[in-house]
Amino acid sequence: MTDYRILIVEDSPTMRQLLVFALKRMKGVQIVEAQDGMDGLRKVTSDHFDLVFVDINMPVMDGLKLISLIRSDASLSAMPICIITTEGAKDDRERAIVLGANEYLTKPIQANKVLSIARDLLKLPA
Amino acid sequence: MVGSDEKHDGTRGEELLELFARGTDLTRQLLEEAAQLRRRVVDAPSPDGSDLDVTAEEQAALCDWIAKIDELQAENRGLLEGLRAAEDRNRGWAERHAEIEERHNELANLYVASYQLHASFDPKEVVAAISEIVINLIGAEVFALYSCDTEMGSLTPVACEGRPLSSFPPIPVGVGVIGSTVAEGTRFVAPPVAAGSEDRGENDPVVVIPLYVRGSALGAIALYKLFDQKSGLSDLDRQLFDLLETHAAAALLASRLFPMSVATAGKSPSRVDRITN
Repeated sequence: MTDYRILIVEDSPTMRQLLVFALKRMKGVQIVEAQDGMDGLRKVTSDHFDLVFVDINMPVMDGLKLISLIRSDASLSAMPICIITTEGAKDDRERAIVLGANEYLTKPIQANKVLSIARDLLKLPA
Repeated sequence: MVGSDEKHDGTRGEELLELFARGTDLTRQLLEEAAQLRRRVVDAPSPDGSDLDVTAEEQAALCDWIAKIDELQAENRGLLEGLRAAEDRNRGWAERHAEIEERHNELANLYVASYQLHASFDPKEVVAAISEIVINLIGAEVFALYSCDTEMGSLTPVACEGRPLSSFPPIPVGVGVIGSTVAEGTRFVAPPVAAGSEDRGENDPVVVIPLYVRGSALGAIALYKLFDQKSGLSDLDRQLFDLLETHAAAALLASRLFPMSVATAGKSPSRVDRITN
């Protein structure tokens, strides 16, 4: 079975652990964690990933900056990105979509919603 | 497992539907043929002048057709009942699947919350873990964590979100909703605001969770505003409140006691080993 590599860029250990919990229910998935935008950029440019979850509010480098840098790299322009945000942060969400994010998750997250978005972006059957 | 059973039931349902449709077509065909046969019998000229000229063979064939129709109709009824039963089973599995998903989500949230609360003995990290649980798992937009000073009899805000810390004044224990909740040790949950009535004030908490360890108050978590997408409190929120009530208090106490224990144990290396190992 094909292994899918998913990167989670999120500064909150609680959110990272919850996302890992949800995504590990998919078979053949390898999950890598990054704790801020800079760490995420380093990992996404040095390794192959099939999907990236990016939190918007992070220290060092925020999610919007990370998305714009990912999309400006031709080799990463097609990689699906899902942002993690709060319902109130509509401006950030819209900006992220304009910058090239494909989907968004609002906090508090639901495991089945995470799975559904991941399967959708990885083009896996539901 | 549930998915494969659902799929199996779904396939069986489709097979039954197909069988039922075939049975219906066949029955319709038979009824048309029987009607044609009847018309032929009625219209046929009678050589001896009698109204009907039906041979014994034709009568037997007609009886056979009618018996066959009855049989097929009974079979159709059976298939229809089978189809309904399969649909009911499908619905049951779908509901069970949704319940299991919900339960899985709850357990994942509770596990992560518990894990994060007890992952550190550093007071700052414990406070950060409490804040993350309240923001990310419960979905509070504005909240404050109060620490209880039993000697002074007051609650002092030590962490918050959504507003500056200075906007949360210290509260005497026993005074107001938060002070009373800590004094009584019973969680406060504000009744939902009725449509059309005035909104809750920004300083009126929606939920106050007292933090107690073995009968001693350590503080409280006051939620002032939930994220807009939250229409109310869910079962999971209440379970997280239960968890915070006991585990957050224990984690805070452990983080305060740990440096003291290490300092005391520093005089005796064997006791340091006991604490850290």
